[in-house]
Amino acid sequence: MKKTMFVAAALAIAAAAAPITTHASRVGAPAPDFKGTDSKGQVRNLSDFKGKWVVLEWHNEGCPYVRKHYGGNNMQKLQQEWTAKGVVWLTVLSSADGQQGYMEPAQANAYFAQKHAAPTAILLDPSGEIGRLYDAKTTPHMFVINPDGVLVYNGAIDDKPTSDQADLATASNYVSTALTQGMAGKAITTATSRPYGCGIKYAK
Amino acid sequence: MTLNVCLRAAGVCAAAAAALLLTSNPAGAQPGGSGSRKGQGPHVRVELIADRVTPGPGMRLGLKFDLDPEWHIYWQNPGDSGGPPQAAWTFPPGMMAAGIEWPAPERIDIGGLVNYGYHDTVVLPVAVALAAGARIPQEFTIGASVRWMACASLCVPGKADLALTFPLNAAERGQVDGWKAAVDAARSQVPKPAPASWKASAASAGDTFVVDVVTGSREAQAVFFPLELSQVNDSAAQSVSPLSDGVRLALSKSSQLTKDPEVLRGVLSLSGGRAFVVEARVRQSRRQKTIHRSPS
Repeated sequence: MKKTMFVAAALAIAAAAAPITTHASRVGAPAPDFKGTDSKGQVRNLSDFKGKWVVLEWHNEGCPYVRKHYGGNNMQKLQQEWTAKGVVWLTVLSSADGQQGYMEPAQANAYFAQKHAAPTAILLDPSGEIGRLYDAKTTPHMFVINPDGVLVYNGAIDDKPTSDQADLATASNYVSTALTQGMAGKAITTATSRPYGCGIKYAK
Repeated sequence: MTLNVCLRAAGVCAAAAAALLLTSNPAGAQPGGSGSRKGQGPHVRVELIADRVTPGPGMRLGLKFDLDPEWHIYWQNPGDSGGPPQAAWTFPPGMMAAGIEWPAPERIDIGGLVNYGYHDTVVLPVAVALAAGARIPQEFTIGASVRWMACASLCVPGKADLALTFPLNAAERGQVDGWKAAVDAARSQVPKPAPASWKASAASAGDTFVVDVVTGSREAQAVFFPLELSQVNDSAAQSVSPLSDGVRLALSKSSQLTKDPEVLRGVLSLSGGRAFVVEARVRQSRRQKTIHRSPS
């Protein structure tokens, strides 16, 4: 892995204060820009959304943890609520062709319409380029980016790491809290958490 | 966040919030209950076993999982994805489950992401606690409502309501020796507290923790399984370098980590099936070091 190859170098330059530095998807750092194509064929760059709050949601329709949030209408409600407040919501599919969760554009459009989902766009990322850029691990793994393009949340959707719909009722939603606090100019109390769910089915 | 329960005397640590529901529900205990000792879900068969015919102090139950080839269930920290099995218990008054004793897991690579868990067959021992002065009834049923996530390249949740009724029937009594052997074998794989003579420390440098564990002898193999979530990047390869009196591991930090922890806690698995709970105090790296990496 790239990072471990730099261990010796990192130690050699580590001074008395060694901040956590180079991770691409660290909160507090600029969110990595990406270029993707959505299910309508439109090219989407993160930089297109400068000045807006952006949510990234990793998705795999066959994953029991994702089904918890779509079957319980939880994700759709979040998408509706936050896009109505001007948030850009990008649902990202990083499953490789042939893997669970992979969708062709027409299939993705039909599926998300049938689910009454309301993301701003569905990014098709079968190469896994965007997923790996963000070090996205699971479905659903969630990121929130502020209008300055800084990553302000990286982690789970909520504090109940199960696939059981019954847990939605008592869950505290980290994404909603981050957006609410961030849009009010407040500090985000939970800026990271362990993402839970199914491992993303990346291209080998 | 995660509530961690460590029973040091027993050498048991459980990420309780994520890992298991410990409930004792006397009202729900039904002597002679009709539940089955065995259950199953897709790719998984599970049964409730006990390590003795006559319940008493020190008794262990076991949740025995048999998995289809390629499928796995999870350790208390599942790694990059998935989640540990959970059990909600039903006991007669005065008895309760004291927690799952998690055997040391395997590192399971699924398409570049890493899970910590178990393949094939695994028994999760569960200690039964008895309240002081509790009288064990002649006839009673222990119930376990078990939920799990099983994954290969795909994930499928499963659940089963299991029950074991005492006194055991003749067929069950004939199996107890085998059950006890399985529970004991699993307990022998539960990580032990690190010996007092060991020294563990971690240097924080950029995106990496360099963990030195001085065991007193050269350790050629080591795998670190973090007991806390989101400290270590689970999917990153662990660079292991034997030292003359121990071992050094370079561990990539989790991208969810925003501030170095005071202590890295984890299970260190060494050659020969040895596994220990280590706590390495984290310090900022202050001097140059050269890491000799072994091929991974």
